[in-house]
Amino acid sequence: MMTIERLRSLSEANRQPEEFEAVVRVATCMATGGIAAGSAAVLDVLTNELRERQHVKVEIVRKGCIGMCRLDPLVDVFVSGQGKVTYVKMTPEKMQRVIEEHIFGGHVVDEYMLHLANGLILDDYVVLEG
Amino acid sequence: MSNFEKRLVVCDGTDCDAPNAEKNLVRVLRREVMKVGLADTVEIVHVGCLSLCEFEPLVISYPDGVVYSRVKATDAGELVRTHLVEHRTLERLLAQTNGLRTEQASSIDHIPFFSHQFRIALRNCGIIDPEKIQEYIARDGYQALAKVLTEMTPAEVVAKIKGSELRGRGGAGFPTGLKWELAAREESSQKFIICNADEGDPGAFMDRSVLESDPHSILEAMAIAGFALGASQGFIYVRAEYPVAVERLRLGIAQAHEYDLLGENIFGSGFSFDIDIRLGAGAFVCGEETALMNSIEGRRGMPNPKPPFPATSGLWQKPTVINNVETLANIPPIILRGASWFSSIGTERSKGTKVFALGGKINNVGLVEVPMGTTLRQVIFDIGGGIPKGKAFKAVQTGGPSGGCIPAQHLDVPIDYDSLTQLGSMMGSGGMIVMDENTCMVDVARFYLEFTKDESCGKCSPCRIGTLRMLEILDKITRGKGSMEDLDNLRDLSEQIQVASLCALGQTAPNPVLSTMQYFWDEYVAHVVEKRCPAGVCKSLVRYTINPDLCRGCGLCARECPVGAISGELKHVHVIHDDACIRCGNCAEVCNVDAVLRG
Amino acid sequence: MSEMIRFSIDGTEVEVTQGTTVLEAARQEGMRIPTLCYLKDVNSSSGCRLCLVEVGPKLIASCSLKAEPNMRVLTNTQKVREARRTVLELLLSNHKEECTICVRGGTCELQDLANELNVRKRRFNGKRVTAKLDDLSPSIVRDPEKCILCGRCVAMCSQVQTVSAIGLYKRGFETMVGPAFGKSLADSVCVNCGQCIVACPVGALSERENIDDVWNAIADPTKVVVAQTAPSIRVALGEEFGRPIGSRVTGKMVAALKLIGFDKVFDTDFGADLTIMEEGTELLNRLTSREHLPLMTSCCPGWVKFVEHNFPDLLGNLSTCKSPHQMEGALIKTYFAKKMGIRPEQIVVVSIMPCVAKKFERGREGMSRAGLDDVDYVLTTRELARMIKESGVDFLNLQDQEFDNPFGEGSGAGVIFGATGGVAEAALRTVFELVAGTELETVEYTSVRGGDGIKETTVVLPDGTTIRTAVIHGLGNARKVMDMVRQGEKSYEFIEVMACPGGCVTGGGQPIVNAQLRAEIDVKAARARSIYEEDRARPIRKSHKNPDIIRVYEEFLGHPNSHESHELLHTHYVKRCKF
Repeated sequence: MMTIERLRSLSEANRQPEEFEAVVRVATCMATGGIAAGSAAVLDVLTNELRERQHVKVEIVRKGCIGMCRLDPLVDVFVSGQGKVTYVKMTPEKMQRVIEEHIFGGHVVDEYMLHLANGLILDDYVVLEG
Repeated sequence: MSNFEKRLVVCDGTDCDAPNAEKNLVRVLRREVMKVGLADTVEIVHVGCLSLCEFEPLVISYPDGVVYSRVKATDAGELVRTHLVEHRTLERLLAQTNGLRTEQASSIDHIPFFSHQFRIALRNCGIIDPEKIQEYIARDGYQALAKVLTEMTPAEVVAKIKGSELRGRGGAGFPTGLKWELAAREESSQKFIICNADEGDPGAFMDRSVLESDPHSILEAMAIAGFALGASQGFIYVRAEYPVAVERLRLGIAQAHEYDLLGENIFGSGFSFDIDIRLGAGAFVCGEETALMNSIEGRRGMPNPKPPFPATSGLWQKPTVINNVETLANIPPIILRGASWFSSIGTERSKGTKVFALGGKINNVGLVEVPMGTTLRQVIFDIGGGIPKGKAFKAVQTGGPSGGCIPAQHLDVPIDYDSLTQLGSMMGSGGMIVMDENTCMVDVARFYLEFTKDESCGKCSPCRIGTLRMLEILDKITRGKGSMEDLDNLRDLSEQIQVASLCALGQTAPNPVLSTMQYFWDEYVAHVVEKRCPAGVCKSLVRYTINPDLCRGCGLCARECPVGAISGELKHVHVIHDDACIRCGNCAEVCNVDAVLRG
Repeated sequence: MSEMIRFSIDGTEVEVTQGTTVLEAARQEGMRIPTLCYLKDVNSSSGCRLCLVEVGPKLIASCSLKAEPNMRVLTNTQKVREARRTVLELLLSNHKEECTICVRGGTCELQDLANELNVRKRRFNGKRVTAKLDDLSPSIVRDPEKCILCGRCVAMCSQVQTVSAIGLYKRGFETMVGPAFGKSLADSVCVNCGQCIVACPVGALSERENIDDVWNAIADPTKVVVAQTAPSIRVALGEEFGRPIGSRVTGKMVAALKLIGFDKVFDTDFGADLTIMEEGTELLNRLTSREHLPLMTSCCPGWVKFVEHNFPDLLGNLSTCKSPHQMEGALIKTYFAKKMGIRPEQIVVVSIMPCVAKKFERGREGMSRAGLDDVDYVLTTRELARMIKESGVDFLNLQDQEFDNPFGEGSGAGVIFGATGGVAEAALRTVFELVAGTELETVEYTSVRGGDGIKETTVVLPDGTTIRTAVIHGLGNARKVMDMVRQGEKSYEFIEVMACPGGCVTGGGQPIVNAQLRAEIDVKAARARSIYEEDRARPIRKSHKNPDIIRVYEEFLGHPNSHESHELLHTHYVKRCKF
C-alpha cells in the first residue's frame, strides 16, 4: 500500500540532483509538437551514436512540451557541472554536430543556440534562397 | 551539415517591403565573398523577415552570432574583408552601435517568452518525463491526493476548491467548486467524474500538451474530485486524434495502479477510485457535456437539453461532474498551496492563471500561461514577440469558433472571463489567433462559420440549417454579390441562432460574425457597397491595376499572365483588363518595380 | 410523491404535479405552444426549437423543461415569436416544395405551422439537401428531401419499437434519417410496421401506394375485383372524412367500396374467425404435445418479421397460420371461385388494411399457390379514403350496405382482432368452448383488453389445462417479453403480439392524427372502444359459431388443421439477419 511516508521518500529519492551520475544528460520535447517538428529523428541520431560509443555515459530524457513550439525540436544538453545549454530548431544533421563538438568534444555549438535581438528570436529564419 | 564553415544570414528587407530594403545586397555579398576566395567556405543565405525592420537590412554571421544592421550594398566589400578575412568585427555596422540589443541565450529559460509567464497548470510540462511517475512524484506529485485522503473530509475539499474561486477552463467559466458541491450534495449510489479532453477549437492545444507532458496531474486531480464528490469511477474522454496523449494516459493509469495511487483503498483511507479512457472520434460537439456523455454511453454524440444538468443527472443518469483538463491541472496545487494562494492571483472575478495557445500572425507561436488580468498586449507583444514582418496588429481571435475578434483599441484590456465576454468574445479554451493588417475580417468570420457549420451535429434546426444559411450569405458577400439587406439578414439570423440553438455550439457559432460586424462594420460595407475587399484577400473582389507612374513597359507581367489579360507595347505603360483577369496575382509577383497595385 | 408545483405562465399562476413539463402545463391551461419534434410518449428531444419559451434571460424548449417552483414562463413575447418564426423559416428553406402534390397535403404539420406562425415570405434561400427517393420497400417510401429531421420516426423505430432500422447518419446540414450506410429500407431490419409514417409530421415517410394498380384492375372488364376489409378500417375511415376519432362507418365503407367499383366486398372478420379455428386447434394440439410452447400469434406481419430478424430461435413457436386476410384471399381464389364458377386468374383480391406491413406480407414466399397470389394488392385506410375522394363519392351521406356473401359474416370475435388483446380473447372464447363442450357464460375476457403494453391472464380449461397468456402490443414490449421467455424468466402457453402500439386500430396504415391531437386524445382507446361496441352488437360472438365458417369446413376444408387447410391456410418462416 502507498503511504505518505513512502510517497515522501519516493519524492526525495527522485529529485533531480545538480550533479547526476551520467556525464551528459540530453533532453528533448517528445510531445506531439516536438514529434511533429522532428524531435524523434533527432533523438534517433543520438541513440544510434551512443550505441556505438559506450565510453561516455549519456542519459536521454524525453520530456513534454515547454510551450516554445516555434523553436522545436529543442534539445537541452546538460554536461555535468556546466549547466544547461539549449539548442533550437534541431535536425539530425545538427544533432550529429552537437554530439561531436559538444557532447564528446566539450565545445558548445554557438550557432545552434538561441540568438536574440531586442528580445526577438533570430534563429527560426525562413530561408528564401541560399 | 554542408561543407561551409560560415554562414551569413541576410534579411534585406525585401520580404516585407521594409522602407530601407536593399535588393542587391545578397548578390553583392556573394560577389564580394567570391572575390576574396571564400565562396566555398562561406554560405550566403537570404531569409525572410525577422521582424526587426527598422534595423534592416540585417546580416547575421554564424557561428559567431555577430549581428550587423542597416547594411547597404555599398558596405558589402568592407564587411566581407573585415569580418571574414581579417576576423575583426566591423564596429560601424555592429547592431549594438545602432541601438539593437543582441544576445546569445545559453538556455531557453532566460528569454522574455518565459520570464512573463506564471505556470500552475503547466508546472511540470517540459520539465519532467511524462512517462515516469517517479518524476511526477519528485515534484510533489500525489502529495495533494495524500493530503486530501488522510487529512480532509470531502466537504473540506469542496470548500477549498470553492474558496480558490477556480472557474472552468473549458469555455464557459462555471465555478468549479460550485459544480463539485452540486454533485456532492446529490444522494446516489454511484457518481462519476469525467475529464473532458475533447479539445476541439482550431488552434488550441493546451489540453493535449498537459495530457502528454504531465498526465499524472490529471489523474491525481480526478481522484481528488472523486473523493470530494463520492465518485469511485472516472472517465477521461479524449479524442482519438491525440494518440500520444492516450498512450501516456494509459501508461499513467497503469503506473498509478502499480503505486497504489489508483484502485482500492488508496492511502489506506478506504477510498477507492479508478479511471477509464474513452476515445472520441473527433466531433467538435462532443466537447459539449451532454453530447460527450451520450458519446460515452455509446450513442450518437448529440447534446441534450439542460436542465437536467449533469450534476444531478449525468452519465447513465447519475450525478456527474465534467471538468476540463486545464481546470483539473490546477487542482493539486490549490490543495497543496491553499485556496487563498490561488485566489490571490488574477483579477476580481477570475482567479489564477490561464493557458493560451498563440497562433496566427505572431512570432512566438506556442503555449503560454499567464495570470488572469494580463493584458492582450502583454501576451501578444511581450510574450508572443509581436507580429511577424513588422506588420500592424489588426485583431486577435479568442475563444475559438465560439469566440470573437478583438480589435487593436482593446489591446490593453486585462484578460479575464468577463472582460472578454464584454468585448463580444469569450475566454473559451484559450486559443488566441492573431491577425495582421492583411487579414480580411469577413473572410475570418467565414472561416470560423465554415468550421461550426461542418461541426454542427444536426440535431437542432437553427444550428443545422442556420449556420449554413449564414455561411451562404458570407460567401455571397466575399464574392461581391452581397447587399445591405444581406447584412441585415445575417445579423438577424446570427442573433436568432444565438438564442434559439439547443447547445453552446449553436448558441456561440454566430459570435465570430457578430464581433467582426461590431468592430469591422466598414469592412463588411466595403464588400457589399463598394464591392471591395480592403485587405485584398477576397479573390473575387481584388482588382489588379498598373500604376502608370511606375510602369516601365518591360512587358514581363504581360508574358507571365496566364490568360493574356495584360496588354501594352514595349516601353509603354501596360494595362490589365479586369474582365479577363482571373486574380492570380502573377503580375504583382513578377513586377520588378512594384507597379502592379492590388486592392 | 406527487408534489404540486406553482409557477406562472404569461402571468397566470399555474399549479401542476411535479415532473410536469412546461408544455404540458401550458396545454392544460389551454395555451397553445407550437411543437414539431415533440410527440407525446415518443419524442421530446427538443431539437426543432419551435416550442421555445422565455424563462429569465433564456429561451428554453418547453417540451423537455420540467416546471419548477416560482418559475416565470413567457410564451408570447417578441423574442419568442421571432425565434420561432426564424426557426420555421429555416426549416422551410431546406424543405422540398411539393406541397400541392404531396401525399400529406392537408395533414402536414409543417404547413400548418407555417400558416399558424404567419410565415409569408422566404427570407433564406440556399442549398437544399439532395437525396434519392427510397421506394424499394413494398411497404414504405422515404423521401429524405422532405425530411425535417424532427427525429420522431427515429424515436418511434428505435425506442418504442426497438427495431432500429432507421437512425441519424452524417452530421450537420448533411444529417439524414435512414438505415445505416445509406441503404434502402428494403435491405434493412425494418419490419414495415409503418409507425414511422404515422409519426412523421410531413411527407418524408408514406406508404407505397397501390391505388393506380387497383384502379387499373377495376377498369379491366375481364377481372372480378374483390375487396376485403380488416376490422380496424371501419372505426377509422370516417376520420378521413371529418368524423371524430373512432367513429364507426362500417355500412358506409361497404357502400363506398361498391360504388367505386369493387365487384364484391367481403369482411376480413371472416378470415379472422378462420384463423381462430386453425390457430385454436393448433394451440390445443401443442398443449397436448407440449411442443413449441408458447404458441405465438402470426396475424401481424410486422411481428413475424421482427421474430425472423431478432429471435430466429423462436420461429418454431410462431403459429403456422397465415394472417386472416391471407387466409381469406386463399379461400376467395379457391372456394369462392369454384362456388361462383370463376377462374381464379380472373379474380383480383384487394385487402384494405390498417397496415403497411401487409403490403410486404402479400409478397412473401408461401403466400401464393400455383403462381397465384392469395392477395393481389393491399391498400391502407388512407389509400382507400383517397380513392373514395377521387371518385367523388359523398361518403358521409351514403346509405349503409352489407358485406357480400359467402364471406360477409364475421363474428364479434373476428372484429376484436383490430384491438390489442383481440386475437387472444377470440381464441380463448373458442378454445374454452371446444374443450368444455358447453357455452361460455361471459364471453368477455377483459383482462386482455386495454392500453397496457404487456398484459397477462391465466385461463384454466375445464380439463384442467392452464393457458398462461401474454398479450403484447408494441415491439419494444415484445422484445422485453421475448428476452424473458428466452432466459426462462417467464413461461406462457400463448402469446399474442401486435407490432403497433395499440394494435391494428393504430396501425401504420391508419389515418394520420397530428401530434397535437395525439397528445389530447387516446387514439387507440377511442378506436378500440368502437371495435368492442361492434363486437357487442354482433349476434354471433364466437368464431366457431359463425355459420359461414361452419359451412366452409363442411363444404371445403373438412376440419381445422386438415390437409386442405394446411395447403391453403398455413405458411412457414425464414431466419433473417440481425442487421
